[in-house]
Formats: sequence, structure tokens, C-alpha cells
Amino acid sequence: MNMTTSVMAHSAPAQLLLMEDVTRRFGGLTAVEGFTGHVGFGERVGLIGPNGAGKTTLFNLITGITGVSSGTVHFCGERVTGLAPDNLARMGVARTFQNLRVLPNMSVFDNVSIGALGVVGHSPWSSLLGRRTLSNRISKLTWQALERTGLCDQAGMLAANLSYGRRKYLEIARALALQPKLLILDEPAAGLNDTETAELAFFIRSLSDQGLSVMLVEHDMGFVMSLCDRIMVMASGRKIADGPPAHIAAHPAVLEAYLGTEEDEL
Amino acid sequence: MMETDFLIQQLINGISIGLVYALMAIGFTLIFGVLNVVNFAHGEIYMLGAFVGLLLITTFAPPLFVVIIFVLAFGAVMGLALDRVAFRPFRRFRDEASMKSKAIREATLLSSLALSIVIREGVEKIFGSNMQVVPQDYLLISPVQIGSFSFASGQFLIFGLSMAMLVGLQLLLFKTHIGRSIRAVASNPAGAMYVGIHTENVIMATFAVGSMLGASAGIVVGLYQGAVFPAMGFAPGIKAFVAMVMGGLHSIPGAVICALILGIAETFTTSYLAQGWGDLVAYAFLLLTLIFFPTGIFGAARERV
Amino acid sequence: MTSKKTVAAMLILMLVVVPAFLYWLNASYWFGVAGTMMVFAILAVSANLITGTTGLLSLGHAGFYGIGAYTAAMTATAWHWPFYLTIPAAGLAAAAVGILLALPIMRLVGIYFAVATLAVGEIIHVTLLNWVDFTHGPMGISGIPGIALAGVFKSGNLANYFAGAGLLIATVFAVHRLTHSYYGNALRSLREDDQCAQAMGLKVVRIKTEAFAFSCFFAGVAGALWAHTTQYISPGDFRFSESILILAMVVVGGLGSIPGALIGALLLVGLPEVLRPFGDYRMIGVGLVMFLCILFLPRGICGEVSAMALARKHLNAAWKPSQQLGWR
Repeated sequence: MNMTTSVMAHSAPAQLLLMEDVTRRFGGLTAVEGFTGHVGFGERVGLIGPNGAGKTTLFNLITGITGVSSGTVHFCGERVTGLAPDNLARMGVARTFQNLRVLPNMSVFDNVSIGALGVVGHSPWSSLLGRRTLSNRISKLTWQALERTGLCDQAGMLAANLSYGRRKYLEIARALALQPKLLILDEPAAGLNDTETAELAFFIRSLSDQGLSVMLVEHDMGFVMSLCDRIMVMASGRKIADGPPAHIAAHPAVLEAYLGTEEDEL
Repeated sequence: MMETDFLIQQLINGISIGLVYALMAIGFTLIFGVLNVVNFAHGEIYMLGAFVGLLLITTFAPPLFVVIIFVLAFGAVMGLALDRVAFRPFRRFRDEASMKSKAIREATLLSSLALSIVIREGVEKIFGSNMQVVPQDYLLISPVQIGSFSFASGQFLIFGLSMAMLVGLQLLLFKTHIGRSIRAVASNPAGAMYVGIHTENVIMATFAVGSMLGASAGIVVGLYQGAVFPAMGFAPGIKAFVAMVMGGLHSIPGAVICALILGIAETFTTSYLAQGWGDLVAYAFLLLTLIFFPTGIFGAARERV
Repeated sequence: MTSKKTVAAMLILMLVVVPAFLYWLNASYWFGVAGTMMVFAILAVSANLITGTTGLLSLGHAGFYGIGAYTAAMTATAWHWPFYLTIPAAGLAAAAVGILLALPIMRLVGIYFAVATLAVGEIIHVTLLNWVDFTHGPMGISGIPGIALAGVFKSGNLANYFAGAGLLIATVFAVHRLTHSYYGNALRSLREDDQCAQAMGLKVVRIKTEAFAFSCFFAGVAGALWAHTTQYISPGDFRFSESILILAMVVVGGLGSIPGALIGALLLVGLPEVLRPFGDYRMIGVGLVMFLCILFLPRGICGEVSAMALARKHLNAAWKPSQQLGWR
């Protein structure tokens, strides 16, 4: 296993995101155990599992919010285990938040510009001296992200005044402004009705058609099954299945995790 | 021989001061534990305890224990009033998110700070900023010789009072209904509410008890040091906060131990360097703790405040 | 945003009308009040940068004010540096100490940061008070040279006034540039949700340190101005109550707003002067006003956040191509 991966590392990286034997313990509790999985270039991957399966912890591990207890994470062939969230974001891992952490007192435009600021960077001296190079790049990235998400018309609005559905797109826009290689969405379909969910699925599909790799953490089965190329299933901190939607839907371990075994049904 | 004696003498003095800080720190920790707010006006309660006690003495000259009981009662009242004015208006929001919200916490810090300024300046206007004269009879400095060490009678009182308070507090927290409620609210305010504990009453009780401790510390120190002046609450208030942070925020025993450490460190610094540098010790300890011991020296993990 | 006409009017008022009026009055006392207003206006604007815009509650601002004042006083009295050297030196010294102290505490959040700044401010004050060999302790430093340029102008009321006005304008201009830019967006995002900002790639600790350094720089400049115009400083000018006074100006005027900080400074320095009999009660007034503001006007008189509430009504309209969004 080690030989193969090191050989692979010398050539172009086969996977965009590679997690090998990742474990995270909190005191006596093991939230994630020996997780090995990947997201390939241009793939749409879903991560599902019952409550308490460890999805959130894995999510936090990938985005740098918590550190691993053991195991490694590679992004674009580079080792990123233990890097801080801002580092990962600049490398191309962008995320949205389940509880929509939009900055309510700033305009839509300014909200999206935060993502652009993250990837372009800015210095106080630039502002003091009135230099435009960085500002122009940030403006450009921000408008691009707004266009991609269809928020141009509402760019001047206060973020607090956006509807719930539009706020989701705002979060995505902000993540897109980072010019990411991998977009990780945290329960994007939560709170949306059927029409909105379908629109969102269409939108995400269009993003990945443009070359962006996407990973979703989601509870809405229909959404995940219809949208993702491949699904990873977690239960009790471990990966119990990994394959295309049809494969997962019939997988006995998955059914057991969600529904209990046949014995329980008696 | 002389050296050791001197050291032990300083140790004893340090412990006396430390116990005073401990009384303040307990009040601080109780309020922080239950409400998750820093009570910036705690030092002023201490000062008011001293002033009120002194007023009582100069007006009626009652026996000492009457003074202390009166100051305890007064402290409780002041604590309730403080809660009513500076903290309750911000408890409009009862949900979990608001209770932990950074903005609310900073707002209450600022409001108690503002109030502490008003109280301190008010007392200064009424009594002047100089030290008040403590009548000779009440000064607790009559020396008591035990072996080669000299104690002031005040130190016995401090020791005795602190022990009584600590024991009383333990009884309260672990043997009474209200005490159990306090502990419940301290560990989970929303949960306590759901189980039917009347959090409002618990909060009021906590303020009352915490302020009683603070006010009594004030009068005892005032009589022991013979110094009662409007600005006397600021430094002990800060030191109480330092002890609480060092002790791990939610731990009363931790706060007490750290208060003692603080008192001893301060006494030694003052005797080897000039008077003024003693205060620096508390601030330096605070910075060092915040930076190097994010969980406090004895404490559990600190949440993101 | 304040229109160009308003800014022009204010500049004329400040640089022509007021000094002419004060000169005609020929009362040193009122020149002194104006001077104090300008010093505190600079302090309020600098405090607003770190507390109002970036959201880091600082309770030790007076400490850096003091470092600036003492730097200017000591270089002027011991080395005879002229004002155009002492003032930048004071700013740089304050910023340097700020960065030094900020590095370890910048990872603290919320009230822990606030209390750490309190400790820092007090440590600075106690050091100024007790390091008698270096700072003359409680006696302070007297005989600080005024603002004069040999052969061009000598020190006096007008020189002090225009030096203050010049420094205030420069400070407001610089802070305006910082906050009305994408960098300002970054600062505000730290105020609103710094965990989220970090997830979006912002180098949070670095930006906080930069903002803190700039804030300390201007506080130091204000200190130098104070030293040269009053020509006597002592540790008592730089205590915790001064830090609170500055904070109150920011809170009253409105968090995140430069005009708010200026108004706050004007009010809290000016009112006690105008109501002279009540001047002695200034700190009580400060405390009460701050308390009432926190309770009833959490966004201050013209805070950024409250101004947004007004803007809400206007910005609800659809985006028009001519409306400028984003910073240049």
C-alpha cells in the first residue's frame, strides 16, 4: 500500500483529495476510524450516513478545523494534514456552512468579496497608497462568482434581506470566489422545497461540468442519489460502503446502518 | 534562622491577602459560572462593603460581628441591585445562541464596567478620594505573638471568616436545593430551564451570595489595612478575575488556590521590590496564563468566548 | 458616505473658521480645549479601527497613548529632537510595542482578548509609574518643547492648533483609506465572524495584528501631540480610566464609524467643558452615557451597523449598472 502510493505521488496525482487511514479521537471517543477515501478530479462525490456517523468530524478534518489523530490527507498530491483552514482555502478547498454563515450586515457583494480576498490576499499598504492591482483582481473575481450564481442583480442588497434560498447561493458564490478546485457543500439541500432542490442539483451539476470537483455531505437521499457519481457511506466512524448510487442503494451494510438488521424488524 | 523566619512571615502575610482575593474570586467565579459574564462591578461591591461598614462604625459603633453581618446583608442587596440594573436587561434573549453570543457578553462586560465607573465616581464625589479614617478601636492590627512570628488580629479574622465562608459555600452548593440549582444552571443553563429550574431566581441567588463574599472581604480588609478609599476595589477586582482565569474559569477550588498563589507572589514581590511593582504581578500572571495555559492551570478546556 | 461638500465644509470650519474665532477670543483656555478635543479625536478614531471596525475590544488603549507621549517627551528633552521627528518616532514606538505585545495575545478571542489588553495597559501604566530612573515616575516629565520650527514659526496656540488639525486630518484620511477598501471588508469580516473568515482563506491573526499595529501607531501620535502641546506629562494621564473614556467615545459615537468616533470625542470632551459646573462629574457622566448607550442605542449615534439599517431601505432596490459596488 505504501509503495503504491509513493510511486503514485511521483507522477501526477491520481486523486484530488486523498484521505488515508484517517482517525480522530476525542478523549475516549473515536469519532472517525481508519477512514480511507478520495475525491477524484471532476467527480461529484456524496458523503452520507446516519446521525452520529462521524460525517461532521470528517468534514472538519478535511477543512482543517480539527486535526487528525493519525492518518494523512493529501490534496493535489500535497500533504495537507494538520494545515489551518485558511491555508486549505487558499490551496483550493472551499466550503459552505450548513447553518449559512453569511455576514448579515454587509452587502451581498461584500460578502462574496471575502472569498476573493482569501485567495488574492490584501495588504494595508495597498489600501493606504491607493494601489489598484489587488483591488481590481478582487473585484473581477467577485463579479465572476456573482455571475455564476446569478446574484448580480442583488449584489447591492444587504445579505440579511436575502431569502433563505438565495443565501445558499450567496454562500456558494463566496466559496466560488476562492477559485477553488474542490467545493465541499455542507447539507446544501437542507430547508429547500422540491423545486429549489431540483434547481440546486442542476446548478451543482453545471458547476462540475465546468470542471469543479464537488463533495456533498447530505441527508436528503434523493438529492444525493440523483446528483452524485459516487457515494461514500459512513456509520459509527467508519466507511462502510463506497460506490455508484445504484450500488449503494442495494448495499446490505448501508441498509443495516439506516434501517437496522432483519432481526430487528421481527 | 532569621531568613527562614522572614520568609515564613511573608508567606503568612501572603496567605492572608490571598484569602481575601479568594473570597472575591469565589464570588466572581460563581457569577461567571452561572451567567457566563464578567462582572466588572465586583470590585465596587467590595469597596461599598468597606464604606458601608465604616459608616456603620462611625455612626453607631456596634460590636464587630454586627458590622460584619450588616455588611453581608448589604452585600446581598447590592448584588441583587447590580444584577437588576446591569445584567438583567441583557437577558431579554433566552435562547441558547444568544446566551452564548459574543456580542451579549461584551455588552454586559461594558455595562458592568460603565456602572462600576458610575459607582466609584459617585462615592468619590460624596466622600472625597482620600482615605477614610478608621476609628482606632476597630483597627484589626493589634499584634499577636506566636513564637517568633507576629500576626495581626486582623489576619485571624480573615482566616476565620474565609474558612467560615468557604465551608458555608460548600454546604450551600451541595446540601441545599438552591445550591444544587446553582450548580445545574452553571453546567447547562438551557437544560436547567427545561427541567423547571427557575433560572432567574438562581441568578439572583448567585449574585446575592457572590456579592456577600465580596462585600465582607471589603470591610475586613478595610479594617485590617486601615485604608478605605473609593478606588480600593479596582485592583482586588482584577486580581479576583486573574485568580478565576488561572483556576480554569469554572472551578471554585482552582480559583481559591490561584488566589492564594497570587497573594503570596504579590507579597514577596512587594517586599523585595518597591510597593508599586506588586500590582504588576497580577497582570503579568494574567497574561502568562492567558497565553500559555489556555485551559487555566487547573481547568478544563476553555470554550471559545 | 459623507459627501464631498460636507467634507469640504468641515475642513473649512476646522482650518479657517474655528482658529480665526479662537484667535479673536484670545483665550488660551479654549485653545487648550480644542487641543484636547483633537488629541482625543485621534485616539477615538484609532480605537475605532481596532474595536469598531475589526471588532477587537481593547481596554488598554491609553497605554499606547502613554508610550507615544513618553517617547516624544524623552526624545525631545534628552536628545532635542524636533516635533517632526518625535511624532513619527512616538507612533512607531507605540506600534512596535503593540506588535510585540499583540503577537502572543492575538489568538485570544472575545473577552479574553479584552482582559489581556486591560492587563497590557495596566502593565504599561505601572511601569511608567515605577521605573523612576527612566520615566521620572509620578513626577512626570516637564518642560517638553512645544511645536516650533526655527525661523518659520514659533510655538504657541496657533502652532499647536494647526499641528493638531493636521495630524487629525492625516489620521482620518489614513484610517478612511484602510476601512473603505477591500482591506476594510476583511477587517469587518473579522468582526462579524472570524472563524468563517478564516475558512475563506483570510490570514486572521496577521490581519488582526496589522490593524492593532496601526491603531497603536495613531494612539502614539496622539500621545506625542499631547506631550508637545501641554508640555508636561505624567503617568496619571494614561490610566485605565483614559482607556475607558476613549472606548466610551467609540461606543457612543457608533462602532465602525469614523464620523461617529469624531462625534463621540467632541461630545465627551466638549460637554464637560460647556457645562463647566458639571465638569467634575465627567467620569460619572461618561459611565452613565456609556451605560445608556449600550442599553438603548447599541449601535451608537451613527454606528456603521445602524447606518446600514437606513441604507437597507435604499439598497433594497435592484442593482443599477451605474451604482458603484466594490472598492476601487
